[in-house]
Amino acid sequence: MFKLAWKNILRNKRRSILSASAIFLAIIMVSAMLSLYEGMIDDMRQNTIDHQLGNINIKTKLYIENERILPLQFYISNVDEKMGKISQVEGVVSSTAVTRIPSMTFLGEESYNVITYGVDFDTSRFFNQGILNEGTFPTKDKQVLISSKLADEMNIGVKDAFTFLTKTAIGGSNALGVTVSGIYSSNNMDMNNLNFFISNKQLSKTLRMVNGATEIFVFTNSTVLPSEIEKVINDSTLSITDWKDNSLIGQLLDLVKVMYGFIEVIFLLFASTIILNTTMMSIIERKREIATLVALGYSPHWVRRLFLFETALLTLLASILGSVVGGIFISILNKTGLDMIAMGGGSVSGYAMSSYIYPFLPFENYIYLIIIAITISTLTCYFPTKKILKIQPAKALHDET
Amino acid sequence: MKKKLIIFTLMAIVSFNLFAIDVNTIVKNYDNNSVFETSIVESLIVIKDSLGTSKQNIKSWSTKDGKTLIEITDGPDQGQKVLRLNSSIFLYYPEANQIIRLQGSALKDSFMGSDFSYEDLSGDDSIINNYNATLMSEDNSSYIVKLQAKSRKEPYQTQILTIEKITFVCTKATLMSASGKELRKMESSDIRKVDDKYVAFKVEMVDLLKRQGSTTLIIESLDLQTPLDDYLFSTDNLSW
Repeated sequence: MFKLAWKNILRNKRRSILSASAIFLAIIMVSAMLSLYEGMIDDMRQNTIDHQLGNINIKTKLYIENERILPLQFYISNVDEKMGKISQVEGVVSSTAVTRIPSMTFLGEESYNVITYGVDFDTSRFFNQGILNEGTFPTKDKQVLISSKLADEMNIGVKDAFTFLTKTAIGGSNALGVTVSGIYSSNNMDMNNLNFFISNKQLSKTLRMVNGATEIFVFTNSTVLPSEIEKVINDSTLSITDWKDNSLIGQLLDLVKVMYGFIEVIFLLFASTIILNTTMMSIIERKREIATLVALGYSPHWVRRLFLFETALLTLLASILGSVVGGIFISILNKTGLDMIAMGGGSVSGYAMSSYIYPFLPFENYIYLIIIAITISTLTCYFPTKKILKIQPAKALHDET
Repeated sequence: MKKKLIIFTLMAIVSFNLFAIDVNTIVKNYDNNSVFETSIVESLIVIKDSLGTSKQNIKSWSTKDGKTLIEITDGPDQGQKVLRLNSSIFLYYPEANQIIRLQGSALKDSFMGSDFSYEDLSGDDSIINNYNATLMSEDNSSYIVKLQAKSRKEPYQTQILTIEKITFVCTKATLMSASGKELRKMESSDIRKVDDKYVAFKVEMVDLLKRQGSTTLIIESLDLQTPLDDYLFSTDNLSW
């Protein structure tokens, strides 16, 4: 059947190319779209985990209940001890204490509303994607790393000093004089606002928190469940949750995947309508050939299978070629990245999106695409090829002469 | 007979008016009682809200013209100071590089998370200079006086005060915005005589814009005699 199908494909090259090109283009477009989706989602997922929540996020329950009023008094105490216990859980890579608080910075008569991050510069992943434009990471407690946007806004540089004022965990306020050790730009658009980073130990002291932080990020490399962390910490005042349960992005990921799946199918269905047309034309044009085959003893079902096989083979070839070309295109984009800001991506702040997205598509996705393309095109041609079963050889041959 | 009745009635009216007190006198007496040449006050602030209670000891120095210095005297925030000079607030934090200056609407910010604003705890308390007064009603023990601000710069454009007849201490106050919206309610108690003044040693303030909670200021000691040097109210002295 393969030899015959291949011969038939080559016999009418124009029709074959027409059918194949629709699938070829559809595969390229769908793979490009999927690669952008994978790149964006992977980027947003990683940024959310690294910069917002960790794989597992820990806060006190009372803090979460009152979060809108920033109840610092409900901080997590003795974070070092708790993180020591967390590190014993299999699958945990690391954990880090984080405190995030709005504050005001003062430089002379000017003041600015900023976000202050208390972090552990050794274990934090805030700086995984980004560039240290100037200076160094803080090495002393009263040194800070500021965003490039804050540096521009305040017109300050490395070794300059300013004061920041914030509320404290005991209901009062406190201010601290700090010096800029470095200026930083993050690839994550949400981190490139008016913010600065200081050691969590120092911030904890300034906020009157005893060895505390407002949250702990736990980073894992496997499916560590929050319940396993709960068991080792054994503190009922804490809320320990998976990042997906805490993040709008996490909750939308699966939904977006399903939506993209639908779009993929729709694209391939459209492409398959061309194959449907050419198949129907082919059946009409090759009536005599079909009649001859049946007259020679081949069953109408076999002939039908031959047509379907031709469709599948053509689709396979077109899909493979489309995947190769699509793959080359995607790997180029993966190297150069897509500038999301230039594409209007600045309007999606708040979604942990980076300014540059690197599209990619795992190898198995190409295989799925090829299989889906073959399935859809073959199924599309299933009903038109039913006509073959109704052909009466004698009558067909008589009509053709 | 009829003539005698008329004369008697007229005499009664005249004598009644001779002994009635007008609202300006009420306000003047209130001012005389509540405005001090100088004062040094040690007090405890108790702040209650939906999340718990916190306490803080403070010491304040103030003069008649509204200059005020407040210092936190114990606890983790010990050494923090607030200086009010005219329409500016200067904040001193021991670990800060600079003295922080707040102006304008920042004066309405809460002091230490309490229901008192910086303005409430400092500034010129004189009513007669800043408000027009109307007597709304009176009973055996108090006058109810309505105050309307003379200028828009007053933090509370309208106030309704309940002033005790004997001590001229305000025991209740409702503080309102220009549109008549109630912003804060104050009640004072534990009235004691200090030198020739009557002072409420306990003041409770409720910020009506917050959902729940209150702040109580309890005076622990009051000195109205000691003169205060102008240098005390300078930004140089803040960091000393």
